[in-house]
Order: sequence, then C-alpha cells, then structure tokens
Amino acid sequence: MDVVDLLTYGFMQRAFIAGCLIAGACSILGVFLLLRRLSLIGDGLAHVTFGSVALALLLHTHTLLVSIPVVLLSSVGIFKLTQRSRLYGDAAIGIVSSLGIAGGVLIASISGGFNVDLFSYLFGNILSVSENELIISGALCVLVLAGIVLFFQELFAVTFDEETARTSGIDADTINIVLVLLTALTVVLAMKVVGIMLISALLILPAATALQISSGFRSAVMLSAAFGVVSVVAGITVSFLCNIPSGATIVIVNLVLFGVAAGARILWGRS
Amino acid sequence: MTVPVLAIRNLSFSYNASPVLTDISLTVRAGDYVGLVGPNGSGKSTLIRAILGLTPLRTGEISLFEEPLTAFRDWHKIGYLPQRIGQVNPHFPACAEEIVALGLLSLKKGFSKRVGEEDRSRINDAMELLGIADLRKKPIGELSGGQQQRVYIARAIVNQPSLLILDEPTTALDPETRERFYTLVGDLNRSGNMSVIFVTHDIGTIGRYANRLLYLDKKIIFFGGFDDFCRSSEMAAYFGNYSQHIICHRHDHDAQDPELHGRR
Repeated sequence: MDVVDLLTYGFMQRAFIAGCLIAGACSILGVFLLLRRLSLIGDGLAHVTFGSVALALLLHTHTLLVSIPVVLLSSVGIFKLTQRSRLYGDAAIGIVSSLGIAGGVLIASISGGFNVDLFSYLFGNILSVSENELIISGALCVLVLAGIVLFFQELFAVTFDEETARTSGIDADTINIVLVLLTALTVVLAMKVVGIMLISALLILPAATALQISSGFRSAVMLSAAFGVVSVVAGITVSFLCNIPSGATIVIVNLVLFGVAAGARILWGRS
Repeated sequence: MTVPVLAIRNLSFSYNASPVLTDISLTVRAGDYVGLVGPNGSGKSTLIRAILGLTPLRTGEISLFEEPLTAFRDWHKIGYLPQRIGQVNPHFPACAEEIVALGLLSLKKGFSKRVGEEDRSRINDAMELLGIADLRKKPIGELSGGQQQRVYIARAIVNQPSLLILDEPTTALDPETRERFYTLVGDLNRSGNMSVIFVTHDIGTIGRYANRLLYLDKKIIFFGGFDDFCRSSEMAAYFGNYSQHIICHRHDHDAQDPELHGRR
C-alpha cells in the first residue's frame, strides 16, 4: 500500500493529528522536566493514570473524566510532598506512583479482574482515537501549548535557577505548579498515544535527543518538539504498514533518533 | 539626606538554634558602595538571602526602597549575582545571550515577556561592557569559569538596577579581569548612581572602591566609612594593627598574610 493512501483513512488522519499535538506538548514539557531532574514525574503520574482508568472502568464513565482530575490532584500532591515533608522529588514520585498502581490493582480486582479494556490503556492505541476524543485531546493540547508559550520565559528562568528567578520577581511556586499541572494533563493525553507503560518515554526521549545537539534553550525546545512529532508520524506509519503495535514503535523510533543524535555529537566533538 | 535603598532593623536569624545573625540594624543609602566582609560562616550570605526574601524572616524588619520586603514588588530595581555559580548544570542548553536576557524579566509586566528589539540592545550593551559580546551564541557549558561569571554579572546589571548585590563575584576571575570588574562596578556606582553591596574576601582591594565597610561576624563588628574604620582604636584592638593596616592601606597583600587568614 502506498504511504499517501494512509492519509485517506479517517482513523489515520485522527491518529496523525492527535499524535502530533500530544507528542508536541509532551516533548516540549520534557525539556523542562529533564533539566529540573523531574524526568520520572511522567512515569509516576502514568501509574496514577492506571489507577484512575481502573476507577473509570469500575464506574462505567469516560476515562478522561476520571483521569484528568485524579492525575491533576496527584501532580500537585507530588509537588507538595517535596515541599512540605523533607522528601526529594524522586521519593515523592515513588510514593504517589505506587499509590496509583496499588489503587488500580485493588479497583480492578473489585470490578472483576483485569480485562481487555485495561490492557488497551496500558499499551495505548492511537489508531482507535474517536472523533470526540480527537476534539477533547486537541483542545487540551492547545491549552497546554498555550500555557507553555505564555509562561515560557518564567519556566526557563525557574528551570535555570529558581532562586535567581525569585529575585527577578518571578513567583516560582506558581510556575512550579503550572509545570506539574501541564505535565499531568499531558500524561493523561499521552496515555492514548503510547500507553501508560511508555508515557515517560515520550516525555524524556525527544528532550534527551534535543539536548544532545542544541546550543540554546529555544533551539532545544524547538528540536525536542520536532523530534517528538517526527517520531509519532514515523511510528504510526511503520506500525500500520508492518502491523505492529504503534506505541512501542513510536518509542523505538525515538530511541533510534536519540542514538543518531548522541552519535552525531560524539562524532562532531561537541562536549 | 539621600533615600535609603535598604533598611534593616533588629534582624536576627538562627539556624537550628545556633545564631547566625544577631540584632542587625543598618541603612544603605542611594549611591553607597558597601564592602561586606567577614570570616567564613559569619552570616554574609544569610544576610544577603534575607535581604532578597529567599530566607523567611522571623525577627526583625527589612525594607527595600522604603517598602517592607513582603510588599516589595519592584524587583527590577535589584540586580543579584548569587555565590554558588559553579553549581549550574554544565549541560544546560542555554546560550550566553539567553542567560543575560533572564535579567530583564523583572522589568516586564503582564503576560508578554518576549525579548524585543530594545531588550536586544540592552543585552548587547551589558555584554559589551563585560567584554563577552563575542560569546553571545555560545552554550553556557562551553564557557570557562571566568567567562560564565561574566555572563552572570551581565545578567545582574542588564536591567540597570538601583541596587546591585554581588555575592563573592570575583572568585572565578583572573587578576586582570578582576581589576576590570572592580573598575566597572566602581563606574556603575559613581556615574550610574547604582548602590552596591559587594560581598568579598578581597579586603585589601575592596577599600579602593567601596566607600563603606560592613564587617560582619554574626553581628555587626563595624559599619561605616573606611576612614572612620582606620581611625578607630576599637577596631585596631579588635583586628590588631597589622590587619587594620591591610584593610586601610587598601592593597592586596592579604592573601599572603597568615594572621589575617586566621581571622577570616
């Protein structure tokens, strides 16, 4: 089948649009998270998403309706834990993430054990995005991207050095909350693209690839977004043509991009 | 009488029950150039952090430009160079120009914080002033310690602050750059009417530029003009004649002076 023919299918069009938007949001946020050593927050929140999906399946409601508030609250929880209780970020993420899994497993067993639905969330299926889901995730992605654009300089300042940012009159606490809330929203959306198990890959890998070859902050963010979008487009196309799972393919494409960028850096001698 | 840019009243601060600062009261006026000197652990950095609102106050009051610190919003009037510069992630993907631009954030009101044409020329001027204009597009991690230091200094002065606070800014600089830097800050202080608080161990040098000496050792040992310091028999008794001589004669022999090192 011709690659161009792919675009004539409605489900492929939806997959490409939703995938690109979500990948863009993920990979841009990833730059900030990576540099603030919060890379694993995506993983932690993804585990919470698992719990919230189990809850949604139990309640027979749409997953986004449950996941979005639960994950938003958990992200604030992680942030408050690190601030108030003398915990490092990674420990706070660990606590909230195990809470998510434990809750999910308990709820799943109450509602009659693991079923196909739950598994489809674990590994994602971007090709099954419905029109309604496309509209919702599109709107939320635009919200996330607008948030990043609006707070770009503040996010940059706080990421570079929180204390000096404060002495420039930036309300670092608010900016930190904005960052974790935007991340939480993005994690819920990314569930559909790569699945709960692989969300952190979509947050970390494009940013890590961009950091290999960028020379400035703005360029790092642009490159990260580009790598994220390219990996999703290539991943969806290859997975459809070879009939392999799309989420895993997207992650492998990202790994290849990262390998090429890291290799290029070593070859051209940038330290 | 010129306006006070900084007023501290009865500030005390303890860390886990051990006092770091005791009963600090002082006023810095517009145009003052204060050399803040004291041994390691004397509370210099704590004082600076308290002034900037980075350490919550328990006892005492601080006001900046006659506004209580809690209500102070005009952060564009303040330029700050923090001490721990070496802790910046060496792989941080930002070029020198982007870092300097961060210094302009405090000038921006409302939602639009984009770097415009006017900002670019200010960034350029600050970088020219420090002789790092050619490093504009260089990633910060590829610069030497001294070059990085100058980038951070450029960030601190790019918004033309009324009060410039420098926490040991000369540690990573070679002697030539350090001299240039002292001259630059002196010029900013005189012609730009920028008040300066300069934390340093260079007690032999600071006296050539600063007009006031603040010697801190958990409390204020001395705060006043250099001439008063040098005439004070109380200070001669505290420091010993030789150390007082080093500070007053304002030359750089202190690095080799064992007695003074003991004091620091």
